[in-house]
Amino acid sequence: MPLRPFALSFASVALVASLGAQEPAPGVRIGLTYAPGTRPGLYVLPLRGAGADSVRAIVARDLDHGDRIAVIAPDGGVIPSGPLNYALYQRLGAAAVLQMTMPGDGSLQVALHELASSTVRNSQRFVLPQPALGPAWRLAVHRVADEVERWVTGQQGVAASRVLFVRGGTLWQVDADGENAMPVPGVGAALGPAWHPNGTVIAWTELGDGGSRILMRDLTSGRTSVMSGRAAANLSPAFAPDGSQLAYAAGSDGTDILVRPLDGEAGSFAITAGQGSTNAQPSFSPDGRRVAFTTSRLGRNEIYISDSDGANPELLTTSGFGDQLYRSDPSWSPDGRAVAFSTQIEGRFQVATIALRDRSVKQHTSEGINEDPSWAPDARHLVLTSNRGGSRQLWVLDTESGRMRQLTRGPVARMAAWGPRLPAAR
Amino acid sequence: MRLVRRSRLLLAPVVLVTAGACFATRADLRIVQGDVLAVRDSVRAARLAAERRDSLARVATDSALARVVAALVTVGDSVVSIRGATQRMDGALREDLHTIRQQLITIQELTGQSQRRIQELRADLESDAADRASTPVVPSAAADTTRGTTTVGAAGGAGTPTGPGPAQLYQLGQDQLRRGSNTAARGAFTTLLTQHPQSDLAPDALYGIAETFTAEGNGVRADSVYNLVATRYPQSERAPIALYKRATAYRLVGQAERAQSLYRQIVETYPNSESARLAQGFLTSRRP
Repeated sequence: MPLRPFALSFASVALVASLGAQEPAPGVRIGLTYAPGTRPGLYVLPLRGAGADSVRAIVARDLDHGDRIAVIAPDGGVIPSGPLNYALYQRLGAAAVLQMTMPGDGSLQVALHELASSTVRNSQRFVLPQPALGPAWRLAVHRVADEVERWVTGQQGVAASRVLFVRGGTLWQVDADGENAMPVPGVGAALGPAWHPNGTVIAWTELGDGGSRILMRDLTSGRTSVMSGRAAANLSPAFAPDGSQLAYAAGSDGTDILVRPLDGEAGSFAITAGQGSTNAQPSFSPDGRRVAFTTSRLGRNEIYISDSDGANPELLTTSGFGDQLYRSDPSWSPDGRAVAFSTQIEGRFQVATIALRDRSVKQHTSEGINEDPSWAPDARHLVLTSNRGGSRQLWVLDTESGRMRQLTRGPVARMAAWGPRLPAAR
Repeated sequence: MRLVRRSRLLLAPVVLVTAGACFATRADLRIVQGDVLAVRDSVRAARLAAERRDSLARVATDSALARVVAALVTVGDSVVSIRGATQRMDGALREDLHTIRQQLITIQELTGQSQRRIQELRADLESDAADRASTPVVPSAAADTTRGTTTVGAAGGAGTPTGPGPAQLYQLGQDQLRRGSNTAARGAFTTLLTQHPQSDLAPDALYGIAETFTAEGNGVRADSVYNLVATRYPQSERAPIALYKRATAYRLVGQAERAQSLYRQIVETYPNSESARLAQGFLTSRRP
């Protein structure tokens, strides 16, 4: 009897196995041993327990969304008892097997079997907060997936993170896998959200009758503070990577970028001297020493970078690409190597990245209108606004493979900000 | 009663005189009437003459006023026209000035870009030259073997291998600095300064050394090197930036007066620099 489900399982992965079958190749040691230039195959075994199917589905989906691992998780299958048949899983195209068990005490025991060495390479027990399937439980499972991705590839995943965005004129948030989309409570007319590096504080632009102002909220305590001064327009907040400062655009006749400490306005200073031009959308480099921003000082919007004190401003986007009419929405990658931005190409906005090393530009989108990119913490994925599905929604782009997946559905969603990996307490 | 009687006695002479006047002749009356008529005629004539004069004067005045009003209208129209023309000219001038300003900024930016490209090109050329210089001498295929000698090919260089040029060294320093290899970056910049002290990249190299100290969090050394940039190369574009860096450092450690002094120095010495515009903000508390 046990052979029948196993046979079904085997049949369902036969195609994957045939695609994944490859000649033995010299391996590289990153997390696992697998052929260079390929995505290592990971067989995710089924498990039993409260919410077991959901655990497996969430982990498999998160690993797939990471775009670094070829996930093999066929429906059904048997839960193996005793030692694993490593040779069998190797024939199915896997480089490793993920084995998860639920002891019944609310925890999840996870083991990663490396097939090349026929050993358990990593093993860890994770606590899953109750009730099962609740937001905290889901976040804990996402964290498991992120850790498994680190075991396999050496790079931690970003499933345990959230995206802020604007829907219906107010702020919403959604998990990185597209689940749990909900409004941020107590926020009025809002634009341009930003995450604090600690993942527990956010800032945004609140629109009012007399103009706009910058608000900051501690999501844990619910305390909200006004961060902007008396100017009519206050826009596009961004936190410094060390979390000690907030940059935003302010002004009445044009805007300049101000930087202020979080604990008081007294130390605020301008890092642009626009003299009537618009300077906005600051984005810090990961070391906090430089800032990318949009400016109209050339008569059209372009991306500049400068030191974080405003010195050494430098035009970033002059390379011969696009319509050279409007570049905006800079987002400095968390690894510091590139800046993503929106650019007009043949009259439509598209998302591109520019490498800071050699200023080479890579256009990532061409279908529909795509704009407002924001980097994921892994410096590989971007969340952006696209109308490729008919209405403006958030999509996640893998900048390595070009793969796109839709993150939000329903009413129009835009102006996304991908937050940091969330701390375990939330 | 006594009072009434006395009043009657006093009125008696008056009544007698009045009654006597009534005894004047008719001829006398005619004479008086004639005189009255004559006076009346003369008065009427005088009045008519005056009215005629007034009429003429009024006509003259009205005419003059009309001319003045017409002139004023003409002047007003001219003023309006001139004002319109002035406004148009002002607008056109503003537009031209704005365009010129934008073009200047664009030229400045493109110049900066060009300088960057030129610098990269210089580094490449220096690299090529170094490669050629280090290429071993190869006998030509057309070597004259009849006399037991060889002819050196055109591609061969006779010189000894040379070290990297200033552009190469600067590029190397920048790359290392960007990578976070501050010691290696400082080495490249220092080599540039020692081997090519007259290079136009010397101020940039010195500034780069200061940047490496800043990246290491060594504010004291960074400040002294920034100061060297400003004093050794005051005409360099790096000079106001170096001063601004010093001022920022002093401001961040709470030495507001020294920072203000440096901000003032930037504004006074390099008024057209970007650093001066930023420094001005600290002097005037420009906070929207």
